[in-house]
Amino acid sequence: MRKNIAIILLSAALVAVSVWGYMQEGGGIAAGNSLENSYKRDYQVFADTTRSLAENLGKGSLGTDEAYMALNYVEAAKLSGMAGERLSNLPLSQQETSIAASFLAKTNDFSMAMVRKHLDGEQMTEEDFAASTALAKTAQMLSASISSFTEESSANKDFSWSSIGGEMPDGSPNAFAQSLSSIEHGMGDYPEMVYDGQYSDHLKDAKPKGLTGDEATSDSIMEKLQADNPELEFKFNSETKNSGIDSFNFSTGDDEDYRTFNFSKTGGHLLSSTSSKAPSSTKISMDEAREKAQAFLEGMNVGPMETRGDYDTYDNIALFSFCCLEGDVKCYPDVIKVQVSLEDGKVIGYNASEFYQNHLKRDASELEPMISPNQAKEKLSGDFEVQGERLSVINSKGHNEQLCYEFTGKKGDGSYQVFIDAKNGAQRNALQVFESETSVYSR
Amino acid sequence: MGFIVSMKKRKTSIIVACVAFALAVTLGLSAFTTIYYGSTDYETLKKVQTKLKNWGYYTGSVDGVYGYKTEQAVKWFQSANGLAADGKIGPKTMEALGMQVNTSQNQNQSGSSNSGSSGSSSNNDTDVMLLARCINGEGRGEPYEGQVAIAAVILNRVKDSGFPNTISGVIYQSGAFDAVKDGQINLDPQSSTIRAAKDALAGWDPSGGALYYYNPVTATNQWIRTRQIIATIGNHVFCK
Repeated sequence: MRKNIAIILLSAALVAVSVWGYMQEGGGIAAGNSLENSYKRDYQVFADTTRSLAENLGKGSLGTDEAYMALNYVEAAKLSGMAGERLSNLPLSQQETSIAASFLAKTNDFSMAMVRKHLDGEQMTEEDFAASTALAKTAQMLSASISSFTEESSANKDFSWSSIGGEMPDGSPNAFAQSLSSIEHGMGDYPEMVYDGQYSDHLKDAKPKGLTGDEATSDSIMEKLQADNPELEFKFNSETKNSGIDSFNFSTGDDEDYRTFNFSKTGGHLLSSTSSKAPSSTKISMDEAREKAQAFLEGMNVGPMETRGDYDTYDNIALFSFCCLEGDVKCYPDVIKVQVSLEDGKVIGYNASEFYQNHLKRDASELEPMISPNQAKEKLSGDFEVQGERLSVINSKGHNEQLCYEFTGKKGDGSYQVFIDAKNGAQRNALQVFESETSVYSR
Repeated sequence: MGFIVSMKKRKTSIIVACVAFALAVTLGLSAFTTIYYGSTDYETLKKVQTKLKNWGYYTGSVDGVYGYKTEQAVKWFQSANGLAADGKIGPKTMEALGMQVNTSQNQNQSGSSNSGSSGSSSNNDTDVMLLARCINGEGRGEPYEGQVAIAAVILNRVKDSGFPNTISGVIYQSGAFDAVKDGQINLDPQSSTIRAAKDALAGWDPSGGALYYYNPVTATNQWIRTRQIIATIGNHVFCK
């Protein structure tokens, strides 16, 4: 009897396990197919958009009609953006895709810069045409490589995207990664591409504009740090090399309040500091915290600064941003950020890296508008209720400074900042201001 | 007859297990007790074993018993995450495992943290949490500055033409982060990693503009070692 029960139980268990295994396998196959189909779709869109991009860039420099060319570059920006996104979805490492991804991002960036140029009524220069031709040639090269790969992979019935990572199923090197990197040689012959965009060559290894003074040593900085803060014990941690701004790094404190300080080698300026201290409560107001931050900045010898207007609070910490003032002109690129503990009002974070990267003494002539405030105001929408106006300096995508009239005001229920170029009246930016109980920010 | 006895035994075992579970839950809500070799907090131990098994530290069965294999796995995990490798699962180890520590002290901290970050909206909250989860998975045991640096590397990649141009695109790029591969990105982030994410989004970059980082003790990828080094913070070397 006992034996029979055991046999029945074992048989039932075997059937249950078999059914479970079958269902698991079925689910696994369905998931695998779904993933493979998703990769195939991404690849197909990538191949199609790259081919269209090659054709589009090839046609772009045939005529001189500005409206047509602007539209053509809008299309190029759209296609390169889409191709880049689909490429990043494929199961390939960054090392394998970086050259093609970089080419597509640069094409997108350059195309948008050309669109802005046409809309501003500017002519493309010889350098712009040379860059456009080089991009078209590379796009054709990439498209041809992708076509060859499509043919090869279609002929190989063992090929699957799910197993492409690193090597092909037959052990040969990843042919698709090779196709992508084949454009590297073509890109070696590129002309220097200088345009108003974030990937322009003039921004590569851009030197900080605001660092002045002699080269400091870690010993000289340590001596000053220790002299200014005799109650603390500092430790020299490391040297930061090969970065935008090379620096020396120091620390003090324990796990509860571990503080770090970064000083530039040039001039020994404090670039940034952080603290692991976590304030446990809020005891001071935002106004008090702002005053503490302002007072701290005054002691940093960075010249006149004004709050940027935004702030944020989190974990009982207030974060303020300050901009440099040139007379009455607010210079947004020269920004310093200060964190204040809302528990005791102490400054626990400081970041002047952007300030030293961008700060420079501007010529008075550069800060003189060429149109009047009323002329600039005419560029605003009629139902935009202006509440404030001033001159300010902002950066373009390619970090070219633009003197603007900044208008703050309301339209409907929204608050906005609108920047009108003080030289030619073109609208350079518009930001919506968002306010909550704990933060104010614009984007 | 033997079958009935066995059923009775099983019933007793279930009741004992239920009582133990109820006790464990009750004790867990009132105060955290350190778990060590021989502890009988079955439910918590099962969760710990499951996590350690998923991450490759534990090869035994998920039975809720704190035996030799579990102790070795806990020690290995502690050592790999910069904790004292004593095999005892205290609050720090629990936090590193991404498990809630239900002490009254921690509940207060969690409350103040939530109220402090609830209005932090100058950056997209989804981006903040995704960044924090990635920092948590990649650098839980690292110093605070090192956690900010990890987030800064992700943001530097977003700005670089050779990478996807969104935070999620960078984090989920194929093979980019171990924490995505082994699932540690799905753990609840520690509060320090949320703040580190916010600091990096506000512009702090202790990495000096780095695009990559690696642990020189554990890295097996030879390519990464050819990159130009910028800075060393905690266990990580930051490079471009």
